[in-house]
Amino acid sequence: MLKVSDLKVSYGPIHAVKGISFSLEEGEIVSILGANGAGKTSTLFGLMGIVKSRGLVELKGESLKRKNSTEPTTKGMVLCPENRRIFPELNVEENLRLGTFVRGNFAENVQSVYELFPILRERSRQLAGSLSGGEQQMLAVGRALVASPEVLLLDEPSLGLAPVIVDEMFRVLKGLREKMSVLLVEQNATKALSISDRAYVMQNGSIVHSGNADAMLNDDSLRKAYLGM
Amino acid sequence: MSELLQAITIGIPQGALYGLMGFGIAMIFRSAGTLNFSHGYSAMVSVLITLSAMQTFIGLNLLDGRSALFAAIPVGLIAGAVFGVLIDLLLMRRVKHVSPASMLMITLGLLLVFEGAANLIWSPDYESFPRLLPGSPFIFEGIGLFEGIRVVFRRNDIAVMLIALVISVSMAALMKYTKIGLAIRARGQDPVGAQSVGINTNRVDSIVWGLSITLAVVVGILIAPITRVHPTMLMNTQLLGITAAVLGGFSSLFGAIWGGLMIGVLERLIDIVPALDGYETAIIFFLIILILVFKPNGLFAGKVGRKA
Repeated sequence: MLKVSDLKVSYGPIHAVKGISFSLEEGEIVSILGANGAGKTSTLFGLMGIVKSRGLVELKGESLKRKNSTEPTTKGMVLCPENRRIFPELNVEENLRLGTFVRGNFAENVQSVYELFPILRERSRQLAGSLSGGEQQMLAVGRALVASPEVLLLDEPSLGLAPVIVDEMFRVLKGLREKMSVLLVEQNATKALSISDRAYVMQNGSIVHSGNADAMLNDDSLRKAYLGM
Repeated sequence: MSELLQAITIGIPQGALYGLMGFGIAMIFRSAGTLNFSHGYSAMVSVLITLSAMQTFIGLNLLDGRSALFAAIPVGLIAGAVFGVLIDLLLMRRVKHVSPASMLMITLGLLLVFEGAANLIWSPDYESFPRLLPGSPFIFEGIGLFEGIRVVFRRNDIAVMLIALVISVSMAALMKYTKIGLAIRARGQDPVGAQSVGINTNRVDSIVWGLSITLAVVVGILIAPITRVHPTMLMNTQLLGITAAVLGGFSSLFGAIWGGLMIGVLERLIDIVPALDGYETAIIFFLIILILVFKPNGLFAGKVGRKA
């Protein structure tokens, strides 16, 4: 579904991502784990063309130019960014409508988002900035889902959320695999591994480990070395 | 009473122009992220282009006075749009992710470049500019209860008010109901969020720059019969436009329009008091400072603050 070869992202002299390669198969949930500053978000920004990157990114066998985010989004790879990045002065429905800016049928898909997150239907006329943190995260995920992505890039969906909401969020994410492939970037490694098929561990801009998610959950030395748990 | 009404009827069209100027300045500020100090100056050069186009049409015997004016206006508007897009493409795009201070310095530099170009290519002289609606003013005399009240409406002011109203309403509709309008608002509220839904934020910035400067050219063409055409013709309007945007709170675009109307009317009202004559600008800025002290987000700031 998604094949990345030798992806490099630099900000001036700083090399945030130093030539990584990974893949995501159809219907898979794959996690990229690692500490703050490991280059996870830069990887996603590079894939989406939000920052300049070098290397080959193939989506469904087709190479992406990544000059801006319009191309990857239109072709079915949609980002749900870190820190929600919703539009605070637009209402919930307008936020979701913008999710279909380049792809997706709003009228159809918004109903399935409302089914996943019923609270968003209740708050549809409310300004997004007035939602609680958990509701804003649901809105951010919903905004990505209305575009009916084939590959969903999720950046830290559990960041700053109450534990009960994190559980709810992961329950929803787990159910997504029937409709799309998911690349999940998380600091909450245990949670991420529990719903993933495979995972990559990043450190200082490189992939230092990769493998089956279940095996990684049970590998004590790996968990201590890279995941701090 | 007559004086008061008269101040309002002259102040509203004047204020509408400040408001439109402020609207464009606020739009660039919110979306592209800089305060454009060259806003009125790029519009001034476009007005000069309008005037030259009009004189050329007349000189070549292609058109006579009125039709030459209306044929020249689109030339000026297009010039404004081109200036806006070029400023974004050639200058802003390179620095916008790097340094807000550089963007600000570029707009200050552009102010000098536009003013210098106007002096060099045209001249520092004052040239007259035709009104859109010439002719004798309408005079209303009160009867009965309103006996003795007399208000004069200049025809051109009516044109100015109508144009300002049409533009404000169409801008509001653009922002609320069109895809590009939503994209402009989204880009201003969260650039990463906007890119996440596939909006090409670079293209949005170019559109915003082009549209805002075009609006400023409209203001320039409407105000030119009063200020006449010269390199600093829009200096005051730009200053009060920025003020209108501050007053409205940069977070709400249409706040700038209300802010402009308030400043325009206030300016005329202060004028009525003979002792305050000549102090209009000073008093307005004093009030602005007071407002900023007590309402730092402007009078019409949105209910929701920006969140990271």
